[in-house]
Amino acid sequence: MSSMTAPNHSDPSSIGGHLRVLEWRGSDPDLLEEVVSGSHGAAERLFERFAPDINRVVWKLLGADAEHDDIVHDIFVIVWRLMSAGRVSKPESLASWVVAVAVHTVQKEIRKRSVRRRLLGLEKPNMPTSETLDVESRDLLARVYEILDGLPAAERIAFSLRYLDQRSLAEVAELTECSLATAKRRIKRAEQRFTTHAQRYPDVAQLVSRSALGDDP
Amino acid sequence: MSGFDRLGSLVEGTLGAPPASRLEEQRRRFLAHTAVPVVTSSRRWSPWLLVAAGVAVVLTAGGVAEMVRSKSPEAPVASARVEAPEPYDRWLEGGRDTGNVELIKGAVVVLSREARCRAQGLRGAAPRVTLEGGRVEADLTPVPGRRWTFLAGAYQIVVLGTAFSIDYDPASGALDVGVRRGRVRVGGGELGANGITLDAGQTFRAEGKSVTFGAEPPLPSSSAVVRDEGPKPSVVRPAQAAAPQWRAAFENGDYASALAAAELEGFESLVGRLGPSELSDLADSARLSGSSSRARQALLSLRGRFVGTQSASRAAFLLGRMEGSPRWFETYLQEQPQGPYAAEAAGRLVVAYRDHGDPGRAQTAAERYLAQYPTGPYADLAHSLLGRPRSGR
Repeated sequence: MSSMTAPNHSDPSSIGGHLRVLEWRGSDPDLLEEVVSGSHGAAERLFERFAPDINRVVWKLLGADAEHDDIVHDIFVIVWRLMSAGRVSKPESLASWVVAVAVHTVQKEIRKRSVRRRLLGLEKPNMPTSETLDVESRDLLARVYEILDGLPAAERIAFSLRYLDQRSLAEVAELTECSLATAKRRIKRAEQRFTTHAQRYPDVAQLVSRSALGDDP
Repeated sequence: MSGFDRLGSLVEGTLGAPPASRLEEQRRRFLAHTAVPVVTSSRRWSPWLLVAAGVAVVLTAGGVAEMVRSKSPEAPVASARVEAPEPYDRWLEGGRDTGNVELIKGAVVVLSREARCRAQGLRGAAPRVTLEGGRVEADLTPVPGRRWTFLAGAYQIVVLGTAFSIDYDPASGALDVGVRRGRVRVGGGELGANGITLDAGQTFRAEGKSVTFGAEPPLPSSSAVVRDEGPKPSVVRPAQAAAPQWRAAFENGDYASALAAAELEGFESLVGRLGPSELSDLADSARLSGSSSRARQALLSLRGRFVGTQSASRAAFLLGRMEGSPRWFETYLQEQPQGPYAAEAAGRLVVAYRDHGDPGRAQTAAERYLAQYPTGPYADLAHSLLGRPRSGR
């Protein structure tokens, strides 16, 4: 997650021969200022800046979930509200903060679904619904995410950030707001549970079997 | 690669990314959400609190100006929590609400007799005044984290802490904006989303497709808002110097004119006496108008005169970009390891060492970059310089 690049002024365009339009320029702290000030167009700039990051995280953590767009919208609403209220204490870390909000929101959703399944016993695990996949790939993904649905939320998030979103341990700790040791512990436990549950599905078990030998750094 | 790494690669390759069409729908939905003010559960209206003098805003017809954020990088970013006042949603009419009307503490407005506007202060949103017609003069005290938005017709005026006037004629759609103290940003209508900035002493008029600039003397900071009985109230304004020409041109995005004006005023003199934010703007004027030598002169002056400031560090980053020199990126990273350009500087450092024919330092920089930004835009380059595939960890 990198901050926006340094100011980028393109040649301003003329309007009616009298005015010149100033192009947006600035880093994430500048964007925060725009949102806090309620500047015209700030919402759109916020979306442009963080839609890729938020979509990526939700897509990876939940798979091609049927409620993906609703969850992304919820995250943007939360981010917008908190930014507008001046709740960002480190403007220079805005990108990390936004992704952390996304992770937190997804974790809450995972817990909610887990409770619904336990209490109501009616809802099947949410299967990836990407229509671009072939049957075999879709089935494999469905099994992976079914296994993930069986993990405790905090462990699933840490595991998914680490391996599915390919984050470093430090990033996992930062995004889940825990210590590095805690992040490592959660990931390790998730690995053990995942390996155990994967025994139901030979193809998945075979895929992760080498990690059970302790070769994971 | 561990089994779980393989799992991650498999998911990455199989799952892909959300289709672009979904992002468009997400954007539409989010922008629709932010366009609707969120009104909290019904509460009694709080009495308006008079706002201390600091910014007087006169809202005239049709236009909304955006407030310009502070240019000083040394000023703390408005990130502190500001206790929001009680939500309010109130209609004001000049014929009924006479004299100084306090919207909330620190915000006073005076309406012309025919003016009618709606003032809203809603949770999680900047306070807003929507002018249906007539003239409003306002005096607003700047509060960290809170900026006012005035809407009139197709325009938006955002105010930090300013004295200005806005006249809106809904029949003709004509809009006049005049800044007497501070700064405002006008956007929307013919100006587009980003709009323009008006400093003290500048005026703006929009009528149909035509927009024009003018100048008028700004107010002294201690002036009071006085209601004018006529249809267009005016305030006695003592003659004062207008904003520097190079700054006005810079704010309009006319960087060549800004540099030319600065040359007329004495570039060396400016470089020696401007404050950090203005000197940074002067450097940008030179850089963006293509004058590398003048840009370098201004940036080096920033480095020498304002040691330890964010402006000075930013100058180092820009010097690195201009020259492709590793030492400036190293300097920035030493001074601002968590700064807003840190990621970019770390990546450009890899490129700079490579381009300078220093593979050893390029690899060291690549290792550092990957340790901090494993999925950053320079990750592929870093991996290639280290001679290992992207997925290897």
